[in-house]
Amino acid sequence: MAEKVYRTLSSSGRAQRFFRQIWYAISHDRVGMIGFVILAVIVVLSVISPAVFPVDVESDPSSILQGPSAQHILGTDHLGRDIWCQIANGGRELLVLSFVTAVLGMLIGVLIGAFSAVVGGRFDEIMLFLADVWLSIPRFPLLVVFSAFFTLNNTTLALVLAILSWAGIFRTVRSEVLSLKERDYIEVAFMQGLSLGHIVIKEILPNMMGFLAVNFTLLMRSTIYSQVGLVFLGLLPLEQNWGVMINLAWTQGVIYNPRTILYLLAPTVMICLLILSLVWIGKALEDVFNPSLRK
Amino acid sequence: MVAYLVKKLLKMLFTIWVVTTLIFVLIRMMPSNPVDRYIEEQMVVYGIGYEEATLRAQSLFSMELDEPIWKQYLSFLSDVANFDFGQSLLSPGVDVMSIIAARLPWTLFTVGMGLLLSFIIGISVGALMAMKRDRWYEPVVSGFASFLSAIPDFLIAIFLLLIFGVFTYGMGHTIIPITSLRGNYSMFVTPGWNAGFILDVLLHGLLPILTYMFSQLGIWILLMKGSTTSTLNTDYVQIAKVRGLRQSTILVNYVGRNAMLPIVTEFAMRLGFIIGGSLIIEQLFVYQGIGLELLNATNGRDYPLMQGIFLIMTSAIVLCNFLAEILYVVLDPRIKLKKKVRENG
Amino acid sequence: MDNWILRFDDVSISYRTKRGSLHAVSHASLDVMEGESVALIGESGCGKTTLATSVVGILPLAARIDSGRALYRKSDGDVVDMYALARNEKRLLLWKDVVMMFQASQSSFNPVRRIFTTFVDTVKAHDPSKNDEWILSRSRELLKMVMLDPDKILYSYPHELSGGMKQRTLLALTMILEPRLLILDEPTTALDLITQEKILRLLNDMRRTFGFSMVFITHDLSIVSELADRVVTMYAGKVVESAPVRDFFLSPRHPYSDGLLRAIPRLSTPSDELYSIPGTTPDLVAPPAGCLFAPRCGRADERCGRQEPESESCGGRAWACFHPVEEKNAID
Repeated sequence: MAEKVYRTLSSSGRAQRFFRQIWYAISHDRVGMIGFVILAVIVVLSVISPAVFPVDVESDPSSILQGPSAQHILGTDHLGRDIWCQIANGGRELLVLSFVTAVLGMLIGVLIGAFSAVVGGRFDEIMLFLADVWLSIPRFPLLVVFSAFFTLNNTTLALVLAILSWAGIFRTVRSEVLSLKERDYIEVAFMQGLSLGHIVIKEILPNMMGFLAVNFTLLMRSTIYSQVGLVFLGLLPLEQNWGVMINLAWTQGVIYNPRTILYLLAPTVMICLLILSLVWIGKALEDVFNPSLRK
Repeated sequence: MVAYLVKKLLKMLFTIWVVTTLIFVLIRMMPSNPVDRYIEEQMVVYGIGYEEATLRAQSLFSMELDEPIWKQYLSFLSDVANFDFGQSLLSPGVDVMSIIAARLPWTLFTVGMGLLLSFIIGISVGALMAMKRDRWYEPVVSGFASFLSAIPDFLIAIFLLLIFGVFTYGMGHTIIPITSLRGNYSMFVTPGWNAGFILDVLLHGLLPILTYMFSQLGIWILLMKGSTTSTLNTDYVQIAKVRGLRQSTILVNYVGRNAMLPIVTEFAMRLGFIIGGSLIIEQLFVYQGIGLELLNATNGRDYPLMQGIFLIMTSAIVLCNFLAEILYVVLDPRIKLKKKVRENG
Repeated sequence: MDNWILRFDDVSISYRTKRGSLHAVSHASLDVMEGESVALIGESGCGKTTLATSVVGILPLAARIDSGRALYRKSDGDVVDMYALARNEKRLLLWKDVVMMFQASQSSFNPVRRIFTTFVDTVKAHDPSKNDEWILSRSRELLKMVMLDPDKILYSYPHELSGGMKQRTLLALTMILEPRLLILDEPTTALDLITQEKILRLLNDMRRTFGFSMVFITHDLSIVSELADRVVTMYAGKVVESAPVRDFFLSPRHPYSDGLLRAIPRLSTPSDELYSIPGTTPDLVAPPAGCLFAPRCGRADERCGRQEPESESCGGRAWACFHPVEEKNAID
């Protein structure tokens, strides 16, 4: 019996249990399920679209800024290209960028946060102070200022965003680790003379997985905000995503042309949907992993 | 208490120092920094010697480039401390500070109004929702609030623009005339304290203000609802009811004051977000505020103007943070104790 | 036997949960006599707190009173139903007639205001004609009675006082309007033993001085023996036994009460023989038929699982069981 219990808690089963828990969280929460479906649709579209709905490479002067029709269900843009195809392909870049940024940002934040909390003392105090200072620097203006000094593209943006977001994750991870550190089983691990690395990786981190998953969706959200915002301001190279579509539609003055309002509206709605799906998934995860917030 | 405030004050100054230093490093010490680039450009384009190019750069950036770097740094710091950010590169002869002084009030006006409105409405709605948790409309309102809090502010701006400035609803004209959708005020009004000007300013500012309001409203509702809910469940509120106090007394002295505490500290943080958002919002509505100015400065590589605006933005946020901390101490007598607990824990 | 001050008459209270309604209290009837001290005991979740808080009307939002009345006899002899009173009428009765102290009353004071405001607020809510001086001098007297230094307490913030001091301050506060009925929800949990003892002694003293009736909830049977005149055992939302305190300890009749008593560790019993009642409390969303205690009861038979026992009374005590424990005459 005791052995069995031990095995279910061992690290091999942990990843599986973690994903099962996530699935439970999402499938048992109506709103979470809606979020998951939206995200799944966007992911599927991103994967199949290059083959199924390829973006028009050539402009078609004969059909500029048309309203919805059987041929172009969402109409055409200022170069006569089909908008639906652009919508279908426009999420990929945002998804990849926000995912990569979130992974990087989490890595940095978790490493520093866990390290600082475990080491404690003066070091921890200074780190906390620095994080507070960092958090009061306005992020988006800083990004804009950066764009004058570095050429921002999606790769550098992911790096810069990941580095910029360290303070927020640091603070939450640190306080979480601190509270975990107080728990009995961690104290027992220390008393058994297990190494610090072992305790952090094997004992503390697995217990924070849910918490990290929630923060992951938060980080993805803020990345999407920054990316779309910068694209809208024209500070990022124009590639194929919804932010670029908004930018182009806006600069073409589409907003005052009610017939083709979909050119502007469609990507706007898509971005809203993507962010909402992340919010809802995050909320469902929070409900399961953080029972104290329930009700 | 005094020591606590002094600590916070030092933190505020430290933050401003960090940002100042960051800017100095960016402008002066990074490889291929703008000063070096400018000198090289002058040498290549005008074929002048290094000495002369440096001299030009010197007057442009108002830095003593032949001094050692630490001296440059110190004089930069003292300039900043005196609010002297030099002159704009794009409009030579104009002080950065005078540009900021001309633009800042517009941003403060719209951002401040938006934040204030969202705060007042959000707090009231949030508290009400906490008390009506068992009604059918509570999930609707809370759902809408979390929707609002998730949508990026510039997308809210686009929706508002569509609703107020594009759709005509069969009236033949939009709710707000198109000419009032851009800029700070119309050409035909004379700036000053006259009714025509004030109304015109309000009309022009309406959509930015509404954008800021809606982008923050959801968060206030959710925060206040959560805070009020937990306050309502506390023993002291329950006991206050059992003590037979009037509902109004309980709401003001027991629920209200305590529920507001965690919200107050959030105020300054929200301000940071909203100022960050103002860059895009002001661009959208072509509103001549400090955000748009920062954007123009960045696009035109007007470094002194950039650094000036960014520093002012940061200082504003840090200052608000500090004020929030003071307010918190005034509102919550436990602050000293809490500090101690946190330090020991 | 018609000198009761509080009468629960067939009270049922349920909570709305995701799975359906949870019957926290079902058909509970109970009288509290003038001047009597009644202990409500039972496991966590047996509905004793729900029943007690329903009188003062601060049940959680999810709770609903399905049926029954909580009758209160006012000092002028009028009987009112606490569940049906208009809000303002009820407000005026609270604290003037009926007071309640929660468990962990450490946080019963508004953390951002000084203690004296609580005293002033309370009196003024009921009698606006009283001025601050009268209230403060009365508060001082009461605080002295609970052996506290009034000058220090009144102008302190709650966080500046220790748990025991807050508890005693609250005790002084309960007496400021000289109520007739005191409801206490685990008055001494979370206090150390010495403070506990102090509070209990104070409660007994005050009862002698002011002559109020008392209902208190506790897990701790040693408190019952010190404070109660009568013991009421609740199980799964039902009142299963009611007995004078002496009879209860000497010879509990309901098997559940018996189990509770046997679960008390005694110095004379070796620790490995410590008894615990097997099983867990039933699911109150879908309660089983028959006696709710039957699945855990050693004395249950086929009838217990089918039919619900009615309350039987005999000689000032009552129990709801088909196979009550035999009466004992001496402590074994």
